[in-house]
Amino acid sequence: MTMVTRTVRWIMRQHWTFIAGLLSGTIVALLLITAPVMSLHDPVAQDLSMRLQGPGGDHWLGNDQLGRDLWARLLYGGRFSVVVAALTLVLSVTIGTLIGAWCGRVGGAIDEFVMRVVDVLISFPEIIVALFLIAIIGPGFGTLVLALTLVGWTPFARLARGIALDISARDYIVAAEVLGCTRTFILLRHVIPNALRPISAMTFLRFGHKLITVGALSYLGLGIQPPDSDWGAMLADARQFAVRQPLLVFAPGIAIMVTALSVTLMGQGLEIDADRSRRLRTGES
Amino acid sequence: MSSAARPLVEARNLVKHFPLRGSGRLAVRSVDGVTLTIGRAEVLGLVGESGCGKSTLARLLINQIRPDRGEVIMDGRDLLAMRQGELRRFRRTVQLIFQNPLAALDPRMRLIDSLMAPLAAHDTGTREECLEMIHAMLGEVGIDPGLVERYPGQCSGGQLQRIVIARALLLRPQFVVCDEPTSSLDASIRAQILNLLNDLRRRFDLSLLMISHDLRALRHICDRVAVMYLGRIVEMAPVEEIFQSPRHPYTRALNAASLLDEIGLDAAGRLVQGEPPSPVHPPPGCHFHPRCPLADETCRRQVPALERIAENHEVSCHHWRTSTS
Amino acid sequence: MISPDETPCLKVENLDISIGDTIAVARGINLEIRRGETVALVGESGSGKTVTALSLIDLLPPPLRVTRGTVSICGQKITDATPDVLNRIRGNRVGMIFQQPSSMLDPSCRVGRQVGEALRLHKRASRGEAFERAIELLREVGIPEAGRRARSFAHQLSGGMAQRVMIAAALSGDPDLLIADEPTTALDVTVQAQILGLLERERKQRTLSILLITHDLSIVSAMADRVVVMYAGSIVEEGPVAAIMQAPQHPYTKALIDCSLMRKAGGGDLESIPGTIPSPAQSIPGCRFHPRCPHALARREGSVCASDEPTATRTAEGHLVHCWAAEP
Ligand SMILES: Nc1ncnc2c1ncn2[C@@H]1O[C@H](COP(=O)(O)OP(=O)(O)OP(=O)(O)O)[C@@H](O)[C@H]1O
Ligand SMILES: Nc1ncnc2c1ncn2[C@@H]1O[C@H](COP(=O)(O)OP(=O)(O)OP(=O)(O)O)[C@@H](O)[C@H]1O
Ligand code: SF4
Ligand code: SF4
Ligand SMILES: [Mg+2]
Ligand SMILES: [Mg+2]
Repeated sequence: MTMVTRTVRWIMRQHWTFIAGLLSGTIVALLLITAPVMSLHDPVAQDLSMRLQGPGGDHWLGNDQLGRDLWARLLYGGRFSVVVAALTLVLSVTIGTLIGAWCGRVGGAIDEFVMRVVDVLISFPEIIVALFLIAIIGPGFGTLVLALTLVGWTPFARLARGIALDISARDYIVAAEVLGCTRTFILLRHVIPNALRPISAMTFLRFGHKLITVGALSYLGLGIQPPDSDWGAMLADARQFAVRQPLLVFAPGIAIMVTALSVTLMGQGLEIDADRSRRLRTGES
Repeated sequence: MSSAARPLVEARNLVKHFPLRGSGRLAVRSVDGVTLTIGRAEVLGLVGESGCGKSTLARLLINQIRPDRGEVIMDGRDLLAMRQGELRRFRRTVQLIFQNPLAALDPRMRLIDSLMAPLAAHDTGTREECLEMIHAMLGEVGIDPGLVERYPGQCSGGQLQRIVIARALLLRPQFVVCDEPTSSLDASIRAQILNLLNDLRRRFDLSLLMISHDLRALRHICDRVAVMYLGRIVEMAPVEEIFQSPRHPYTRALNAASLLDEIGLDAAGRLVQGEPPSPVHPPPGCHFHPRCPLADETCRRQVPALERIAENHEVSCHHWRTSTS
Repeated sequence: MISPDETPCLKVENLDISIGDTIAVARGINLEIRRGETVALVGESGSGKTVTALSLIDLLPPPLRVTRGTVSICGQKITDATPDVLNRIRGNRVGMIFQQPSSMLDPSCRVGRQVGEALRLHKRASRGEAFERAIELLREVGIPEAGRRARSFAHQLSGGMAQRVMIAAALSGDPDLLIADEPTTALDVTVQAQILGLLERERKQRTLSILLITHDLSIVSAMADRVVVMYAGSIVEEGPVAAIMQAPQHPYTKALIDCSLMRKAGGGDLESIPGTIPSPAQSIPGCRFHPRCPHALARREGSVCASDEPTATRTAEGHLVHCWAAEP
């Protein structure tokens, strides 16, 4: 119970953008998780008699060009987009933070080398790397995650390294060294906890970007393969029917936008708060 | 001091230059050939102006940074030749206490966790045993055990400095460097902390290096005092001699400046002119000559050697005989 | 000797300063500085010295404001003055120097121009004249090669040089009163003596009045004519420097002098004051020092110290003590 009240209190203390983002983000997440309950129809069941029908009856958003229920497709498709984006982000953050913080702490030639690699990778647009990989190993879920992670960890590494360098100059790190704490301990107990706030802010901010990249790849037909679908693929499929049934384009478009926006808002809220507490801390000392 | 007992810390000819970024071969000559010893259970004061290299020297002595040249012998063993395992054991025996206790504690860790970390790092026993040791040590430094559940931001500077001292002493070190431990504290708290350190050093038989820029703060606690100017030691003597018969003109100036109430503004102002020069381009000859009222041609050209002028009293000045009058 | 009926350079009467309306950070401040006099305002960190100084020229930062009392400089009332009058007083009557000289100087502006700024604003000097005068001032405060230095920027100066520049800027309006808030705390001890010597010289030359804020009592005996001791927002004792330093009457003053000059107590330990200074939000009835006071009468007769705020007792000519234990 205390855990819950603590969390609630913590949330209430955040900036309003965080709370707004959290609310809409939670709604989206709940919808996606409960997709089997929330949709009355099978997302792949075709019913050609219902082709391009507008909203009505128990087809809340109408049907697509093959007569499939748009609402159901939106929910199931969203699961895919969001899972890919989230998974690549989690991988990127973990890898990036560990590598970056470690480089910042050890310094020297290793640091120099890794940072040059980061410089090179960071200058590649994610989509190009993804296209390249897909050309080699073929499209699919795994390729997508791999491709996006391959480039995705770099900004986190850079950020974590900067923070690690900054923190390393602080007295409490010197103290830990003098007290004989091990490198791993200092990294895990001092450096990373102190880096967590800016890193999580950046994670949220990058989510929207990931979601759109996933969408774009699927739109190009390089993401998820039929019969599965995601928001990007739905957009691509709906292109030629946009005039006859605009909802087919709007629905996935708005879904991407709302999801990306709510997570970005959370990120912004966190960043504002990180900034505020940093100013408070430095102002005090 | 018995000459048979070997001092605990011996530093010989320590040199540390920090290269200046983007300026070719220029370097900050932070420590420029320092030789000193600290005996067992002895307190050596180190005094000097900001930027003269006090903290750098301290960090060299505890092997926090490595010197460009010179050696540090601790308890008869060469610090710079130690290997990883030996170094970790060595770490327990030297500790550092900082100027700003708030900065020396991780703001995201409760005080108890900060106290626990070094014990865990050295496998000092079960959690219960560690807690017991911590409570005993908190008693020694006069902190209520309930306080350690808090975060650093929720305590006063004096309380935090006591916690930092407790954390350092938990590992039972032999040698503790206190880098201006009281200069961020108010006068009344400063006195409390100095009293505490003085008391603890007797009870734990500690050797201390007490760094300060205020001679007055050293008088109460030190056995000997080393005066540093621009990377070099210019005078080293028992504490009362530094106060009563300082030989180096800079020591006299420092002395007067920290005892303004006794010596008066005019006298203090006459003893030194101008400001410390840059450690990147120290003046030739005696580093102090541009500010020294006694400087002459010899001083401008020749570096004075650190000369032993009495048992336990060393001075680096061409005219130390004149400067006594 | 200064005649007693001369208008004092600074007169503060019954000044209260609060955060918002409720939390008092300074209360009942009475302060008088005569022409050519140096008054030291001393006390531990957080006792309200800076806040008091800022209120004298109406520079309190927002949550803080004057809730009662008056401030007059050279007979002119500051409280309720129009912005115009205030500006004229700030420029011509009062100069101020702070603890961190480098943070008070504009990093993008040559120091000569900054020193001359007050002249341009208040004395309507031309740019050239102001710069010439600035160089003169810089020379006066002991800056070598003043002409060249006037063209450098603040970050190119050492701490001591920057403080000299601040002093030159403060003197440029030819003020009657100089407020110096810990002018040497950030400087090296050997430079400190030089800067204080400079202030002392200027005071003599210009018959300046100086309000010197410090927590270092050794500076006080070298510089001040009179001493005002503050504790937790109130003045607890004031008097001539010799009387305060040699025969302090208030227990807090005694303790502060002892630990500031690092005197030893009976057992060989340094004197210290138990406990810490209360924050402004803490309400302490009676004498604000009583929880830390070794002489608190509370333990002896009744509970005066713990319940009633001490009134001023005159123990000697010009020596006021706010303590129930003081005897006239
Ligand atoms: N890691 C570093 N890199 C570059 N220069 C350094 C480094 N550490 C110290 N210095 C320089 O070495 C000189 C001596 O610094 P140090 O901190 O030892 O002085 P200090 O006597 O402790 O001064 P203070 O009283 O201000 O603490 C300074 O000029 C400083 O700028
Ligand atoms: N801007 C502000 N807002 C709120 N409270 C303030 C502000 N400035 C000062 N205070 C409070 O007013 C009290 C007096 O502060 P002041 O800065 O005058 O102390 P001081 O005697 O100058 O101390 P120091 O020696 O540390 O400079 C303190 O308790 C402080 O917390
Ligand atoms: S050697 Fe010369 S310049 Fe140096 S301190 Fe001695 S007298 Fe002064
Ligand atoms: S009034 Fe009482 S408590 Fe206050 S200082 Fe005097 S004796 Fe101490
Ligand atoms: Mg230092
Ligand atoms: Mg102040």
